[in-house]
Amino acid sequence: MATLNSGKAAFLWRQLVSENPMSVEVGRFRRRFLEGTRSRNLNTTILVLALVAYASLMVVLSNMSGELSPNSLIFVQTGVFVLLAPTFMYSAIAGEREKRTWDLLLAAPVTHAQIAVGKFLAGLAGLGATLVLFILPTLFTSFTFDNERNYMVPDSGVPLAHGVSGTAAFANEEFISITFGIMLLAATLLFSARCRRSLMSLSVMLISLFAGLLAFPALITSFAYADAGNAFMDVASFFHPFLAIEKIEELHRASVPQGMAFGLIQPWGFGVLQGILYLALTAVFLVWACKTVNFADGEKKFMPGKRNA
Amino acid sequence: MLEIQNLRKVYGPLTAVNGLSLSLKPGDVFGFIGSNGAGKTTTIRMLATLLEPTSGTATLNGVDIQKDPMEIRRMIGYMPDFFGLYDDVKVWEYLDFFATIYSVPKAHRSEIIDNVLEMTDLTIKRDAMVQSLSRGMQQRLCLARCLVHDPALLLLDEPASGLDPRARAELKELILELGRMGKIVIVSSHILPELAGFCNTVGIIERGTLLAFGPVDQVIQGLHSARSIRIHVLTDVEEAAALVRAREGVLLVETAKDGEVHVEFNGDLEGQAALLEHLISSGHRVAGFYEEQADLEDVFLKLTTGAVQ
Ligand SMILES: Nc1ncnc2c1ncn2[C@@H]1O[C@H](COP(=O)(O)OP(=O)(O)OP(=O)(O)O)[C@@H](O)[C@H]1O
Ligand SMILES: [Mg+2]
Repeated sequence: MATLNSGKAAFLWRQLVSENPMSVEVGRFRRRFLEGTRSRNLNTTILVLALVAYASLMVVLSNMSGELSPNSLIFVQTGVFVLLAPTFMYSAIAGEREKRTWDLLLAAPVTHAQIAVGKFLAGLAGLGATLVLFILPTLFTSFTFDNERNYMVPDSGVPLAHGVSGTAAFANEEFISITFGIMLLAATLLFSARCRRSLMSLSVMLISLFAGLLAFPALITSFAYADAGNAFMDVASFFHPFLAIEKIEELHRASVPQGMAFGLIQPWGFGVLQGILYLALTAVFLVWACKTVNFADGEKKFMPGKRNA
Repeated sequence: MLEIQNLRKVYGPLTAVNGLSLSLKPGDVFGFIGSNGAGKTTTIRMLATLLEPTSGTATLNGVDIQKDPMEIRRMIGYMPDFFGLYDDVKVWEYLDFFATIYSVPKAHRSEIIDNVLEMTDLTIKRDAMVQSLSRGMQQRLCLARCLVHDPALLLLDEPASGLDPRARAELKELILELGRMGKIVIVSSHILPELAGFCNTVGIIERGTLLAFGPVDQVIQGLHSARSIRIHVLTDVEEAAALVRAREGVLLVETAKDGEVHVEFNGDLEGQAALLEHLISSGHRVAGFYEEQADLEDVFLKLTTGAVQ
């Protein structure tokens, strides 16, 4: 049974990744974003913004070593992922339809899954490149950050003892950030597969992000000071990458009782569990996108339902 | 060998293709003629595995289009009636992308790209951006794309629309060359003179039904069993007409004011010669006696009613 599964997994890996002809998308993607063409103003702008942000980060870092925590950089990195992932993927499939190259791909000897995964790999490569930009300064701050100076029991001059080890917290936060970025890629790919227009898929993605990252937590926080407050906050933190990263950081900084009152979710629940949840969602979105890809005539509606003839 | 048997496609109440059957052998250049909405594109898209037939089958070299679409896709080159170009890539990159998708070995790719560029007369545009090409060049690039994987069957949906007369002539040459290379070429069009020149087989489709199919001269002959003859006499026209009318095999005689007699004659060449001899020996002065050449256009107009669903 186990060998059967691993054989199947190896087959899938070969078909979708290592021997997938659609992985040529990665190179195309690199050319599009790095060798910038005039027609891609939006993408180029965002790329330039990201580079400017990177440069200023480096300046800030060299000026305030000891004060900037790796946590804040991971925060910024997650924010950049939130901006970039939709830009990378929103036109992946809807754009092919607009250019009418979609039929050519469907008439080519590649499976729907290969097309979708090829597009996804391209986005993944873009996300990887962004991560590389961030990982160096983040690692840098993780060494230079002065725990003794920055985390102290208020008005006492006594350093806090750490609840979670620094390395574990750092790894957990990165894991959440990266997996969340990956999930956003898959989600945008799914929207791109289900929308007729690429701008439509971008809008849907941005609205979902707004709802998920801003509206939903705001709603939760409004309950947070009521009786069940901490439980609500815990749930919100669990599903929200930024809040989760913040929570891990708080757990890391404070072992003293005044710091946290635990609600529904135990401290160990933050980090790996979220990452796994995001990866699971990624798989779901990808499979869904593959299943959506199968139409050349008549477009599918955005939500599943009756297929037009 | 391409064998199409009873292919049908139904869209709700509308039968777009109604029991189409034909067979083509390597080297055949098949002109698929029909007015707007006749069902040409629908048929071609079914062969390209983009549309599922409602019923019926088609096999190419023994491979069924529905049972093994992947294998079929490797064997066909499909040129849709729209462009389907990526505008942000260079000409060679566009071809390289599709060569990769069609699993053309990396070692041969650049050689093959050079070859197809040569064939389509685009060599000097190798490094140009696709969007900078003229319409006709883009069309030829589409054709070049169909050729990168050396397909056995080419499905060209209105390849000549938008081409200037010179480019048309070149396309004609290219298609003839592809036929000589042993490929099956299906060319759809509603511009008849365009097809007549280079197809060795034609099919006339109207409202989804194939009205005639076969080698060009056979189709013309089959529908034009009666010969159309014009006789120009300098003597009395009515008298000559009466003489002709009395002959065996003459179906219809009309006279025109300028001394011309139009005859629909159902006899062979011998009978035709005898008719001329009879006129002269009866004392008529014949200045002209010629058979009107029936062409595809006549056949087309005679067969189709121009009705569109
Ligand atoms: N997706 C669809 N849904 C419903 N009807 C369709 C669809 N696609 C085509 N048809 C109908 O099928 C018939 C045949 O269309 P088709 O595109 O095959 O014609 P055609 O011969 O290619 O015409 P043209 O010369 O204009 O390209 C038309 O009546 C058309 O309206
Ligand atoms: Mg058509």
